[in-house]
Amino acid sequence: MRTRNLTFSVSGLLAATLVAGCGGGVPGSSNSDAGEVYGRLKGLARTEQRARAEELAGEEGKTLSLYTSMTADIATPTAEAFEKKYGIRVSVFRGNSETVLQRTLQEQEAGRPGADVVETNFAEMVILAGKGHLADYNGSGLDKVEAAGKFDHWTATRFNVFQPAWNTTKIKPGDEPTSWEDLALPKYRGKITVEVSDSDWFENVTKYWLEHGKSQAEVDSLWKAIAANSKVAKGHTTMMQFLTAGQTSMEAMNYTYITSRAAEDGAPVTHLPASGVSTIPAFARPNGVGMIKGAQHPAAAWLFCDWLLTDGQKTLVDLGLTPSTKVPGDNSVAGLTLVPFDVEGLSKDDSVWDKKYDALLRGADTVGR
Amino acid sequence: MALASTATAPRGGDHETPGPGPSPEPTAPGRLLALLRRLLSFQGLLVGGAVVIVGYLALVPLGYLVHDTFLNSTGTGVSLGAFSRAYGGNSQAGSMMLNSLGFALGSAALALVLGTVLAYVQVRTDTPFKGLFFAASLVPLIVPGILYATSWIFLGDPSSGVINTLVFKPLFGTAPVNIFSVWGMIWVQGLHLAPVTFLLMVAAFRAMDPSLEESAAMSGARRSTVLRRITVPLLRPAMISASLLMFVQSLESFEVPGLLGLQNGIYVFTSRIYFVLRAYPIDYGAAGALAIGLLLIAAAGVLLSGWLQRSSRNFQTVTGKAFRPRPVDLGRARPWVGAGVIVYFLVTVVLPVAVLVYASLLKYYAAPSRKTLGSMSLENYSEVLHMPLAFTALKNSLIVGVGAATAVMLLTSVVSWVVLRTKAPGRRVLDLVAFTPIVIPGLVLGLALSFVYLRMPLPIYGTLLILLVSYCTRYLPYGMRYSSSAMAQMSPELEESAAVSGASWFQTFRRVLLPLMSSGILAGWVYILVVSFRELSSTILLYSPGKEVLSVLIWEQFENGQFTTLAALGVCMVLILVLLVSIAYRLGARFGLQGDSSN
Amino acid sequence: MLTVESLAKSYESSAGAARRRKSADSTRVFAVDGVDFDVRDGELFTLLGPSGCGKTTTLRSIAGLEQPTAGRVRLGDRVLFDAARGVNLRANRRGFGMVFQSYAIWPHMSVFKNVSFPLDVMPRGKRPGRKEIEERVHQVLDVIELGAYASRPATKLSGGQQQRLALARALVTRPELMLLDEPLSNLDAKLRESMRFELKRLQRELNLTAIYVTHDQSEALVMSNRIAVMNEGRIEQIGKPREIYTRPATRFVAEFIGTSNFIEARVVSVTGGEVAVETTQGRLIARECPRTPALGDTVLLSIRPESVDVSTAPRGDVPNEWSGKVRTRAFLGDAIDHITGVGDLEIRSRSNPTVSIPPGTEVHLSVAPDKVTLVPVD
Repeated sequence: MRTRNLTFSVSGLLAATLVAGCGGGVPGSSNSDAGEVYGRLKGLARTEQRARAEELAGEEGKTLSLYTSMTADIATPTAEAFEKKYGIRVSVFRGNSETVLQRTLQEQEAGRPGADVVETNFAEMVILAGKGHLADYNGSGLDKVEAAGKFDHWTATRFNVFQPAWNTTKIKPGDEPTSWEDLALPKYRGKITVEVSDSDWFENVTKYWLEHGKSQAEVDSLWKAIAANSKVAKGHTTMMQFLTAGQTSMEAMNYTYITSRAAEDGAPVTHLPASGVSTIPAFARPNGVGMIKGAQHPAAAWLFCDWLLTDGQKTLVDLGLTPSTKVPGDNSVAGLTLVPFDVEGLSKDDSVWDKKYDALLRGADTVGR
Repeated sequence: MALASTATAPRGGDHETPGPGPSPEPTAPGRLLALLRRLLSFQGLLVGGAVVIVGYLALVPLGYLVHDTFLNSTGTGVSLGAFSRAYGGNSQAGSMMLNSLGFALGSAALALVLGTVLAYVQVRTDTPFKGLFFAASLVPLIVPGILYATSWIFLGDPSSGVINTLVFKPLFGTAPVNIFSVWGMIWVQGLHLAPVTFLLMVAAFRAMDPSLEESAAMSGARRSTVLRRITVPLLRPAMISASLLMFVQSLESFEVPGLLGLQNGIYVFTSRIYFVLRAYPIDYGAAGALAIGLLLIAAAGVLLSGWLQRSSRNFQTVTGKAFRPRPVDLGRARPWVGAGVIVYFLVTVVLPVAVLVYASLLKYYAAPSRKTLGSMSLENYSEVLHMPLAFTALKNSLIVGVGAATAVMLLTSVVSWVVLRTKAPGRRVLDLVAFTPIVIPGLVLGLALSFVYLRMPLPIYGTLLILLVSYCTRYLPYGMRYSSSAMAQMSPELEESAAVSGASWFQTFRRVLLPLMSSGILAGWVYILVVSFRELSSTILLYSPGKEVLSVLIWEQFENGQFTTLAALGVCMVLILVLLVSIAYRLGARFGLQGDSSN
Repeated sequence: MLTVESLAKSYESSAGAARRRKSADSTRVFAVDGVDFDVRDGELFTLLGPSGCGKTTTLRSIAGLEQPTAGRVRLGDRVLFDAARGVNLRANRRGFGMVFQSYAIWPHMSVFKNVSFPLDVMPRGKRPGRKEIEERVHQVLDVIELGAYASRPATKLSGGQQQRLALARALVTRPELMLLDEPLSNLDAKLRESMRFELKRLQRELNLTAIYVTHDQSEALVMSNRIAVMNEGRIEQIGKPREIYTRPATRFVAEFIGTSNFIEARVVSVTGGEVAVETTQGRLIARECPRTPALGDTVLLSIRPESVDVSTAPRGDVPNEWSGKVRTRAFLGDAIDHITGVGDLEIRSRSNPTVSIPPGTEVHLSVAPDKVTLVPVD
């Protein structure tokens, strides 16, 4: 019963892997009609588009696949609101923005798109658009979106606003920061937490400082002082947990909607001083939506984009987010001093800023170069 | 014994299984035919199939990794640029490696000591509170790493941690505990891993004839001498196997270094990989180079453990001679050991779970105070029960978890037979290959699998099957360790006697090998089931809408910032899995083995 | 019945092993080095030798648990193994019963299940019905007196019971050939003694053909019909126990079996069945020897201690007589040994314990010519 010559079996597995590794030759299931549907809708008069799209979506089977990095407590009610309006069943894939990007790219490259429409963060949308995976939307939903929210092949749906956040039992009124520079103050030593992947915030603040009269050397020393004041954490929601628990005192930057929602639950956290007005420049990073080329349900994708930029905006406001259009009753940016988000710099050399920020946090000596 | 095992074993502790080797060559066609017949036999198909599947599972992500790492930017040639990007410049590679090694060695050592001592006390002594071991061996495994580490932050934070504020400050006036240090990381990781060692070592102790120790005691050795000179050396194969596993698992774990290490800038391999994978454009090459660094360390570990075990192969402790396990009478030490058990139970189970239960009753987490205690409610639990996906996710997790655990343990028990009991060429490579998935970052595994299965005409991508494939791949190394340490302890004569009795290979395997390995196999099965409930890093890329699993829900709650809801979900998960595992042990015991007497 | 022809098993060697041959390419170690024998129907054939002599490897090769590198094994006209023709029947197809040194009792099965296993795993066509299996198991359990323990877990048996269980398992299929690998070596002395006779009785009653491996010469002498003494992978001598004991063919056999006095001598005359040899202490007459030596050959005399007659008074009328002084004596319980110095020789004699001579006493030793064995010196 012992020893059987297993050379064959062992080498057989190599062959199996080869076959699997190359794999190719499988016909993609990309929908070749999608382009035509997008084209037809684009060619129609604006007033006719929505009705036609609804009709076509009915022919597609009234389903939609959405890939999004919205958290579940936002994605689920949003999808439900859309379903209610159009009777289209939405299946939602939720993941980190990186995951959404990776999954979409993998599927597009294999010619088997799983998503009809993607809603995620700025950087990931830029990449998807840059790789040519998104189809243009030109419907009436664009009307209310400001110029800063319109991008090549995709459109902003909401903003993540960058502000510091603090625990009000730990940071007493009067002690709050009033500018980004304040984060470098010695009184905050050991009290600040920074997030390990917030390189876009790092980039925006740096650019802002340089544009407002600071020299590179001054900026560098400010960052060094901030880094020296700080501990590093991972994940904005995790940080908020520790902030609400009083485990940490202050966060250099968190998204205002996260802070607001924790505050709504009764946690002693805020991003606004007692006066209710923050003087800290608030960078608003756009998140956006785009229709996938070759989608299985292009008309439904179109409808979703259209809806999210119009009626859906109200839903987002109700969920505490900052919409990309003017919505009555939206006070998510009340008391904030909004400044433009540096779209240009981050679209181009994201990874450079990632590396600089990483080096800053690790205390490597090439910071800012 | 005769010459067979003394003079002839050609290398180290190999069994004298004959190779296909140097027999006088019969005519070529006859030989080929014989080989073909052999391969087409049931055994050939089964063994060959298992080997092929295991190799396939392990090599797909490895191939993907190697491909990305060594291909140069134009995609036409081989380049080592990825390594200089990963380790060169200001990457502080040296301190990162030192941190990684220190963290992994420390955690493995802590887990090994704790797990082995506990297993000894559980199996071999008449300690009180044996029932607690069951919980102590499971709960830390079940609690998701994020939650476990978070609980410890609440406990061990240098300024506000409960241990410092409630224990050390009032008593000693100092706050010496700092969870955000390498020691803190080792502590949390070691405690989290100790159950794995415990499960492995319990199987090993059960399988060992106590008369081996008794005979030493009869020779006049004191108990400590017996432990040192007899018990530990006899268990060496299992201990080496377990520490290797712990070491590599600590190397590749991210939750603890991510939550505890980053605070004070303690970087390890995985936090570097996380950083690289987070940036865009993702430098897969650099991530791969880091993963290959991990792989090399792990491979060194495998080789080292093989070398350390070289003489241990003759230590089969399960022989055909049956024995009656007799617990050691602890005597006067009994209350002390009992107290130790209670303390361990408090620290590893009660404290973290209490933090979870406490948090699950709050609206948002705050340190215990009159106010928070007054505002407790069961709201989070009702929220969990009303989650639309809760039951789908539970069902899917069960399907995938049970499926992966069963498939992996069956596959690895066949493959470890090949590795340990035959002289098939390439068996050592096979062993190594089956170990590689342990260092493949989850995201890379996810990418590799979606790459392969998106291009395959089989309905795998977008179904639960792809999660099954992913879990089977991830937990293959663990299954291998559990199976092979169970197999290594078994005397080959038990199989041989079945063969001589006329049993075919399959009959021997099913009726003798599997039941005898069952203690180890069950431990592995439980382990895989439990950890697959919390696997996230590849799941998050591979799951499909409608096919969510529990770990996705947990992640969602975490992302939502609903720590308290998450805690409620965690508590539910602990309850469900404890129930499930008890059933598994009961069933296992009914299968007629020296089942688990502790539950 | 079973024929083993030029069986050999070798390994690539690394270092420090028993026996080597330098061949063109590599050093090979021979565990078994060309073994030939055949086992007759109904006999208990023993492979006897010290540790490392290749006896277990030979047995395992017959069982099919090891693949020899050369040679043939046939059972009647059924070829079980033939290196030249690439035939190697698997162990489970050979249909033998085997008892292992460690018993190899399966700890996860009951006594009954352990015994029924070989029947349970028979191919569908040949497998007896459930009832017959039950009957046969109980029958064999009764034979070995474990009938009352059938439903017990195998692990609850004592050592001797486990040994018998292993035997029952090997017997239950009524195999053509039983292979026993040091089955008694794990038992205590008393039990071992009684099991010897038990085994022998079973073998005779059931008319079993068996190959028995042991390193214990007294066990071999008691139980065997024939014995093959092995050393360094080769067979030194095959013969009936009495032959092996009284007429060892080589010095190794003579040394390994029992104790013996060895005396170097030179052949001075050969007449009929009588050989006269010259030793340092005078001339001796030997009758009967395995090979008739030539005049002038150097030979080794082997004289068993119990063949040496010791008395304080000279006998005078016997051919082989020495006189010397008792140096030591040793009481063995059922016998007493005297060691007597005769010139430069030391002669051990064994006699009834009633004969006890204090050291220093002048004694006369004598040995009958047919108790003097000539062992050829190579």
